[in-house]
Amino acid sequence: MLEARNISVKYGDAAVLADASLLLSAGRITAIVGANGAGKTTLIKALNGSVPIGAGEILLDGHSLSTLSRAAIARKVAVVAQETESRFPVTVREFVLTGRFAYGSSFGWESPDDLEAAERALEDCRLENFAGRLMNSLSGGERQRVVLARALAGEGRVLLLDEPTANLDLAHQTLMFRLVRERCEQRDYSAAIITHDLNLAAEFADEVVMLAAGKIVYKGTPQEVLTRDNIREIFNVEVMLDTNPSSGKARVTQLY
Amino acid sequence: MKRAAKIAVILLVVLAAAIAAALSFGAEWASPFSANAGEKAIFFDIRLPRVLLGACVGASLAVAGAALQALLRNPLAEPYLLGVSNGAALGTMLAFVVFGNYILARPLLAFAGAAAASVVVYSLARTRAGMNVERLVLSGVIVTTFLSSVIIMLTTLLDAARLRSFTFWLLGDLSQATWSGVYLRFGAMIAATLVLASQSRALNLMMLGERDAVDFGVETGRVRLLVFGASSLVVGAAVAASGSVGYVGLIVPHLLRLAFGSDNRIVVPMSAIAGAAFVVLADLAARVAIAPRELPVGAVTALLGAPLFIYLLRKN
Repeated sequence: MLEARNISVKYGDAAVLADASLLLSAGRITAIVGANGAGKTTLIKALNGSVPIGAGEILLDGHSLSTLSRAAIARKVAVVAQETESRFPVTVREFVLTGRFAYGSSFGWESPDDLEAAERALEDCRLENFAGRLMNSLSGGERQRVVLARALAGEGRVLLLDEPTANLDLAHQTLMFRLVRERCEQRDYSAAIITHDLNLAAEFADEVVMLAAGKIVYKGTPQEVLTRDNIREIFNVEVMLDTNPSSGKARVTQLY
Repeated sequence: MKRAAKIAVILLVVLAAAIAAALSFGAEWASPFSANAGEKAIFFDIRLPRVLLGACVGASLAVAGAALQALLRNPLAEPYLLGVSNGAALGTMLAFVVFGNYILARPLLAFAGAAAASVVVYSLARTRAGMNVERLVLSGVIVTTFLSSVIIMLTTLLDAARLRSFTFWLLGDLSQATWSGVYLRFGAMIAATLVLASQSRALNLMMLGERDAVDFGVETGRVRLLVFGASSLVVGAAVAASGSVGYVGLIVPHLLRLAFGSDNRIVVPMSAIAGAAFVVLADLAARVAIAPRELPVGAVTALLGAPLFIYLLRKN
């Protein structure tokens, strides 16, 4: 369980996040939506302590984040960030194994547990056949799945995902959300997902958080938050709302 | 682990062969078993320390290069190209000019110079958005050329005889090897290799990106401090003895990555062994190519390294 209480983040003099509170509890998916530059990525970074917060506090299973080591945080919180391309030839398996860093010392080889966790994560993400391939020989979407596999290999029970479906085709977008859903429902993981796809948010999230200019403006169930007025206010677009006939969840159609 | 041990054995055999070859050939025939006192002296007082110093210097520069490349996420990072070697060279010269009588002043000021150059290049190359490859290389060039000009100004203080030996030393030269010099470099090299290798698993993550490293549990500040500290120490020690032997830290880790992949738990420690063999062989070439005259070993390594640098730059 991860809880942010009234946190603020500043880059220099500019406040990027102000007075944000958020509770990621076991079994639930929280979707974070908002226009570009609203502070979504900063919020995710603050949640695992990779950017310092200026005010407020973050509690991870009851302990203040600031008292925990990086490794202790990494064992509980797994991150899927936008991947940056590396100039070194690294294989998919090597990449996924870096997700196990927090379980060992800074030198030394992976334990059988580490190897097993990595293989399981590769299988879950349907990447068994890619294990020996070099990262820079993969397509953007394939790399994105490897990044997810690395996060799952770390077995942190809080998942923070920063636009995990940005490069994925339709089938793999669904695979990604199903995987996260499954972990939440069956293993009591909790997840926060930044996405620009309001329909995916409506379909898979238990809670939606809308950010604008560094503030959490609306928070609640998809039905409560994803309304025509809210979307007009935050994204400055007109939408039509109805119900997805197959799932019964809200469906957002943009009007051009 | 098993694979690393196998690779280590292979490279140690290569290193032993390189040392044997370097001890056997030279402008004069010299044997440790000779009845001739002069031959024996050439072997024990000149050739053996020179070969061993070459091995220490090669190991130092290669292991520092491998670790810096992973830390800075840049296959082109190298002590010589980043200006770290020149920082050490300037420190050595200052020690020579100002504290001529204190033997330890040279490696100490060389270390200080290398550390200062590392910090300057790093802060020049770093932006809020992170670090980009071209910016790092450019910062290295700027610091290198600036330090070179200071070194040149300092050489005007030297008399003609010292000037010649200094010019040679600046290009990378092992001919002044002494036993005490070997001991000091060996100690520094072993200590730094242990420190750098101990960070190699963290470097596997740093190599992918600083954010990745932070997210997955690396205390990046500590790793950065240890890698800059250990590489400055070892480059300072090496440069104070042999001048700026360039490109060793570029060529050796690159070849190892081609052969064995990018895992730093292999690349970093193996760079020490392979770097030792590489400089021993380069120095052998420098001694015999135009015997009885000698080339500076730095000229030989640069001859090999510059084309590789161009190749890597184009590939990127």
